[in-house]
Amino acid sequence: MLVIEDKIKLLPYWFKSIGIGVAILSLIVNFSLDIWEISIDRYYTILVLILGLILVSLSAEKFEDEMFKQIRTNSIFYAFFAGILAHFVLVFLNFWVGGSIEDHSSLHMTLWMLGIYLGTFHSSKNRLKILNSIED
Amino acid sequence: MKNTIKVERAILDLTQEELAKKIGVSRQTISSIEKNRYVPSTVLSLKMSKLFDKPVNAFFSLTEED
Repeated sequence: MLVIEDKIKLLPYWFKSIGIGVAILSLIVNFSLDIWEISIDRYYTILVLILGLILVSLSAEKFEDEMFKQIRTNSIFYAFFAGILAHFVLVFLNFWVGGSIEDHSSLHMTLWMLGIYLGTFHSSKNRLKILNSIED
Repeated sequence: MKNTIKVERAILDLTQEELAKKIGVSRQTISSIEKNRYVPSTVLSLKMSKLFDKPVNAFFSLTEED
């Protein structure tokens, strides 16, 4: 019998700190490339940033319950369609403006989708917290 | 959907934190349910029903918007 149930298993909360650390480290290295002219391909720093954001995205909240899973689902929905929209914009630019889509565009697209997902999730969570505290 | 969770909680003299602990959710979720910002699942509603010793429709009711 097919049962539709919540099968999403997330990493423990402390993985979020590791993810944030990795993301911050990659951003520092990314900015250092310009200042000290280190010869590392920016591709790798973006890759590490994505890895950090994936860890943050896949980490559970301190108290992950059904409401947070609902907020997560809504955020995934927005991130998915924002990704499709961005893809169409890139294709449009490619067709009308000319030139080919960059080799790194898949990385930027992933970064964009993760950004939308994390941004939506955290802003919804914080907005709810603020609104609830105002009315309490 | 509207609810009278706050009233039921007051009858049992429970804080949001205590109710949250008893049914295994966060305090934020209880607060959101009370303010009609989140509609809980059937499982969570039944947990509250068991705790309040009342049927679910005694504290949840549909509005015209539903």
